[in-house]
Amino acid sequence: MSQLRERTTYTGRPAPDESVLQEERRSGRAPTVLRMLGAAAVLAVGAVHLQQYLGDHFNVVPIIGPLFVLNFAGATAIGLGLLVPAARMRFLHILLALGGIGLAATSFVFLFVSEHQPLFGFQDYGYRAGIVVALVAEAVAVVMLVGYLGARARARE
Amino acid sequence: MRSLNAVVVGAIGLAVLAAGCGGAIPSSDGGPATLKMARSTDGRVLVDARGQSVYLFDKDESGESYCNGACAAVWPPLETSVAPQAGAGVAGGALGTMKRDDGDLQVTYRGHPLYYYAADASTPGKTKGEDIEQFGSSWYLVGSHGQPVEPESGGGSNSNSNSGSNGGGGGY
Repeated sequence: MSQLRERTTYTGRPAPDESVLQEERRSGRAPTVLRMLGAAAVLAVGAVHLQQYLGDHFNVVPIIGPLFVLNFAGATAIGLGLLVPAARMRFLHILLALGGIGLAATSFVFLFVSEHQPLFGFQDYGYRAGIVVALVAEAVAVVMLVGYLGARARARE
Repeated sequence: MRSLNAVVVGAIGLAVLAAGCGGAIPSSDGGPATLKMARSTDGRVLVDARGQSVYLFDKDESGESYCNGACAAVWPPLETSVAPQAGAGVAGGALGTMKRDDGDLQVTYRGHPLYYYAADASTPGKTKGEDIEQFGSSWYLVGSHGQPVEPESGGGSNSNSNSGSNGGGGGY
């Protein structure tokens, strides 16, 4: 019966699982740092797509315009989710990291393709500041979130 | 790691598939451009061989294009690989070309570089770009003498910097 009783700290909140604490002790701060940087990069990806949609009139471009809005919405949800503290979001963080990798990698590939040939009938021209920021943010997001998943996997071994 | 590989491969595959999906917006296919006059709700205007509207950018001057980067993405330049051809109602001598910053040849009409508008989406007769302001200046359909075509309503410039829609959506 005592095992069923909830352990509490002096603040009155339930203590995190011991397994989570052990995992964090083994891995150090690296997963948290990688997750935070990945989240920031994903948010930057969404922000630059929103800027292109509103500031550079991409709202008039068929298919591409709505995709930019979806990118912003998805990136915001993933980025904010990754920023929530780990103790309560362990499994969800893995899913969000995978989602962030997929979003950033797809955006990177689509952008690169559109620079060289029509994509959904649309072609972009040149590597202006917005495109460079997008490519860098997408690459950083993939690297950081892959690193985060790798660090988590190593900590559980 | 295997799931990550699957994600990346899937994304690349999707991009390759999407790259083959054309026709959403007009884009120059690199062949010789042909231009002709067609009747629209705004009068006789210049169109390409497929009947898609072309526009001039008020900011351009002396045959030089000031639409690059994001502007050229939303207003794709009408490009050609060889000398453009004159269709019905177009004087051959009025057509020309200019070299863009990226080295491609853009068609000019009476000295005005010509563009498509992404929001027209390959649909002949669409004139969503008529008399709107984007990228710092106004865009107009092109008349037979190379003049900007004023809308029939004569209501003045429609400052519509965040939208491609205006009253000029009629067909030919």
